[in-house]
Amino acid sequence: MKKIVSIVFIVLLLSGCWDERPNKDIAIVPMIGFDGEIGELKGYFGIPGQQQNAGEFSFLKAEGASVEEVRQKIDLQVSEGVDLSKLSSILISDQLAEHDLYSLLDMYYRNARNRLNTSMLITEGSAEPFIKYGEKMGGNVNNYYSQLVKGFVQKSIFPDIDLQLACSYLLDEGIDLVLPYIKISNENDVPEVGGLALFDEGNFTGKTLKREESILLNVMMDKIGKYAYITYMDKNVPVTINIKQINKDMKWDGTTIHIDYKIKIGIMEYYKNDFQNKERKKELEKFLQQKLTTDMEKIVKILHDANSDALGLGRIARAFHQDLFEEGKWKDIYPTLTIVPKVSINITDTGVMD
Amino acid sequence: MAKFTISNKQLFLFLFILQTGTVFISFQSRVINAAEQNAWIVFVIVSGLHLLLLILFDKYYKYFKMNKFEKWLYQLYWYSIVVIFLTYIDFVLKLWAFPLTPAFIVISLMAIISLYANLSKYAVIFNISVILIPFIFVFFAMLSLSTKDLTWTNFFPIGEIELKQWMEGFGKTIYAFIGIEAYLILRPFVQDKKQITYRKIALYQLIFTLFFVITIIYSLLFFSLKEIQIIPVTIMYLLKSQEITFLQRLDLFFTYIWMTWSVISITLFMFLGLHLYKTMYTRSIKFTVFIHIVVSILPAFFITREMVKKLHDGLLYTHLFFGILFPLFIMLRGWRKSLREKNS
Amino acid sequence: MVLYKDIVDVIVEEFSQTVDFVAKELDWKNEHVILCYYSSMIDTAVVMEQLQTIQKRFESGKAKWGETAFTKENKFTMKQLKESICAGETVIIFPSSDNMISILLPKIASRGPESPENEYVVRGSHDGFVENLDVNINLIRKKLRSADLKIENRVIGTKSNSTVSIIYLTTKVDTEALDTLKERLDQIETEMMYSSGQLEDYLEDSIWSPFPQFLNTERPDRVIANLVEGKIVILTDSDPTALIGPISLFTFYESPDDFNGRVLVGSFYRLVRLASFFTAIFLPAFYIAVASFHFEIMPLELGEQVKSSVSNIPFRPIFEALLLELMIELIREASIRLPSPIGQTIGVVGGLVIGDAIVSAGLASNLMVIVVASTALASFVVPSVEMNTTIRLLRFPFMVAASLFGFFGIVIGSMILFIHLLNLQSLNQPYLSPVIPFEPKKIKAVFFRLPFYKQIPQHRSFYFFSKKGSKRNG
Repeated sequence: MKKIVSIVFIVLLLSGCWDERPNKDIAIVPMIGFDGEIGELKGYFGIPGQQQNAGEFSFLKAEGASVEEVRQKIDLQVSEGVDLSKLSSILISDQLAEHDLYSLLDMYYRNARNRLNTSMLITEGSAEPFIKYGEKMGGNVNNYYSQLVKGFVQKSIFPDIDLQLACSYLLDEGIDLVLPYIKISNENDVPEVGGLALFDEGNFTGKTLKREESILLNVMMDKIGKYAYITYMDKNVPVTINIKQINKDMKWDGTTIHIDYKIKIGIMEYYKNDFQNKERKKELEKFLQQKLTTDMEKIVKILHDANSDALGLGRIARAFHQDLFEEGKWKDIYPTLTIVPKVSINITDTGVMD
Repeated sequence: MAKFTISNKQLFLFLFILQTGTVFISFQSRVINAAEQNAWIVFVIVSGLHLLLLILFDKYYKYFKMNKFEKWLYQLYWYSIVVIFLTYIDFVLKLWAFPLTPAFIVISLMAIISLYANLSKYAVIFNISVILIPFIFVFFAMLSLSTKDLTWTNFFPIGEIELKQWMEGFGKTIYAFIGIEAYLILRPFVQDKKQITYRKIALYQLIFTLFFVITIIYSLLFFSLKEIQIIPVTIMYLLKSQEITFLQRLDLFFTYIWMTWSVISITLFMFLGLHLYKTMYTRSIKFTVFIHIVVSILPAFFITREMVKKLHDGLLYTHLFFGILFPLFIMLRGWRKSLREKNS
Repeated sequence: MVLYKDIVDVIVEEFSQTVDFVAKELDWKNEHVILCYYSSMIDTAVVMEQLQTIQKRFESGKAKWGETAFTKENKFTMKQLKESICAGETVIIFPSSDNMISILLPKIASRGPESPENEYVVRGSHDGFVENLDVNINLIRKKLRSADLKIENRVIGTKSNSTVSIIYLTTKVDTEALDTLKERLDQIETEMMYSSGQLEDYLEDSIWSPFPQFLNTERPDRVIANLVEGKIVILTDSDPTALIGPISLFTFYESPDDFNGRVLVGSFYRLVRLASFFTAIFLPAFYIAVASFHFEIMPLELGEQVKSSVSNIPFRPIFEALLLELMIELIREASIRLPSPIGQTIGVVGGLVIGDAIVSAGLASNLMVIVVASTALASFVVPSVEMNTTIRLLRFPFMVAASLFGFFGIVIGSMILFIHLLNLQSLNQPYLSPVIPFEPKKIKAVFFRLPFYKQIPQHRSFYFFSKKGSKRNG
């Protein structure tokens, strides 16, 4: 009996000796940023204070050869263990992203504890001010950038790409990554959306899409969020449309690819208000068709210039057009393709007014 | 014990858990690596062969009579499967959940469950799998969360691989069918002849095939081929990337579902071996304890990445022998013997 | 006058010269008889009236003058005399003819059939069993007016001579279970039968299991519902508790309230109760595992909450949990032992004051208080006292397992629990039926309270011989 009692006591006292990681011994890091280059990385960690003193945001930075080394150096500066398993956003400077993004991310994929739905953002210039801004985020600090991304995914400005999907895109040569691009606004030093960063196989091309162009790219990929608002000037009358439904139809004709978009839109604002007139409506539809088509052509050109296959044409080529696709050489073939977008518009919704 | 009977449902549930068990998380990436986009076709073809084998077993199971040496051989085979599976389970758990906990503790805890179940009456063994039925549905519900992230173009092109890849694919697929020989051991437990018809065997095979084909297709569509090369446990990784608001780590839950699943399949393998032992000797408790201790000590020597791979590859060929060739041989022998007896 | 003084003396000596024993000679026409009784166990007026009736019948010379509705004639033996007297009968001994007549009118103290306190229902009948076998059987027969209802008696205890009644419906009972029960009853060797709890020990399939294998109830309506389902009821004299067997785990989660209330309401609360089974066992273990092993499964915001509430606690979560669990058990014990008004006060004081003070003293985190309190609530939901204690006991091993290995420990623990439940039997019937062995038709009656108007049998916890005579396999 004595033995049993003592065994029970020992068990209780030793409890969780091996893999226990008490919650209170761990500092959860919700956002990190990097710049520099692999081998000489500069890392910035933002660690929010605890519930009672949420204002106590600590901004830490360290240099190291790899992501893991940076993390360990940061660990020296904190009393608790630094833990990246709840990371909600990774910020990477544009300069760093220009050389093989995957090399930065390997550590997150390799560790079983990390979550994979972390948001990724490319920053204009160093990531430091973006993390430092955490001091002003208040209670929102944990999810600030991931909420920002989520919000703009809904508005169709960003595609919904997380860490896991990025890995898929990076390793698949049939499609290229686009990531949210943010910058510090000149007027009030607040991070703001810059658009989309275009990648060419894992390397940031330095070319970005603006806000309106980003929406259109999402339309072309048929991956719009809840809202996709675009505004055009129709003979000095502004017209704002909301893209509701897209039917994409692709025809491959040798190296020419015709992409037909049948788009259903709603009118959000148009003070001229003459939809009773069917001809006027047709005219407006025609105008929008032209506008969208030319804008899409512009985007195709930008993508071609950046040699970025953001539309994932390589995947389609691999699946259905084996004659065009050759494993490992798609990036040489892609620039030779001609992409011809064509849009037809159907106004289905004009709000509560006719 | 002699008159103990089971129903056909219990038989098929036993077989299903036994065959899926440990295998079903690592299986997909092996097959896909070998046969690329055609992995699921390969699987469907092989499972057709599996169905034929099952029907053959069902027809001639009465001739499956082993002598003492063969019984020991089969026991050895099953116990070594248990050792290999335990090694693999601990290997995966080490990676995903317990990097620091000593292997022998994790393994002996799992062995204790098997020991407890195997010391209980037979009904316990045949009913223990029931606990997994809800988890099978939970697993598919979890899997279906990722449907929106699937890339449908990964399906294609179909049929564009070389003969060598086909063959390799077939080879890897056999991995999913380890444990088929259990049918011969279990079949005599089903006394009611009406209970097992070819239709029911086919239905079992259909469910079995669907289970694996769905997991293969999800892995194939979710990841690019290059990713699958570096991710050995695709299903786990797939679940890891899913997020539901209140539980952030689905893979962690899945790890434990899979572990339960595996532990039960190990229990069933142990049962098969011990059942053979019980047909030879009346006293079995000491042996049961002994073999469980052996089984829980051995894996500790094998837990390295290379060893796990080697053991698994070795298992494929021993399975071909014990799962298909040897039973057919024994049944053929039994059949000829019965012919001779009829004649004389 | 006194003819049989020496006989009286012997009898008094046999009854240990106790003060409440009366033995005296009476005149009986032209002979002397001896009258014996325990003065504490008869109602004198009633017995005297009966005595006069017999005398009159004797004088009028009727053939069987000694046999009335309340009397019995026996040969006189000392053993028979003792049995009769101890049962509260009044005995008239005729030394001349070596006969005796017992008047079966004992006065046995008994309270009225009030509603049992530990099985309160909102709607439905409010009578409960009392400490009197006859009254109890009366309560059963009152509601179950069937000639099928059979009662068999066994006398157990060489000193106490307690009566144990086996009650069942002959047309519905599972004969296999009945034989098992009778066999076990016959094997009991004891001097004293204290209570039905002791009887339960003798009858159970495995004593060391934490799970009760008989349903204890003091409610006649529950007994009747189970009788109709084919179960066997065991009643003891001097104990208001009826044992019902064979039962399954799910029987413990059925309350008469389910069937008194509306279908949807009954089903909902049945489900709540079944869910509480898991909450009560696993919630503290789950919290401990999450707090010390797997905090990454929590959403970020919740993780912060947990961290900030735990960060100032000096103990590991397991100690924190044990401390609070112990506190809850203390409050429970204290409030049971005290009279009910004080008991309630203790509950409030313990729950509110100590709970709040523990948190502000930094001995336990407020999240842990929530976890432990809701666990306690969940365990009290079970409409059976035994099951309730079982569940509260079970969660401790799970807490230890969780603190050692996190989820892995919980999984291993629950598998062992599951195998144990598979092994467990109640009168040789599987404990988990109808879920295992799986019976799709009956399974919904476990989780839902089905309406009465449909001719679907309510859930039964075991199987009868099917029509072909072959038994289902368990």
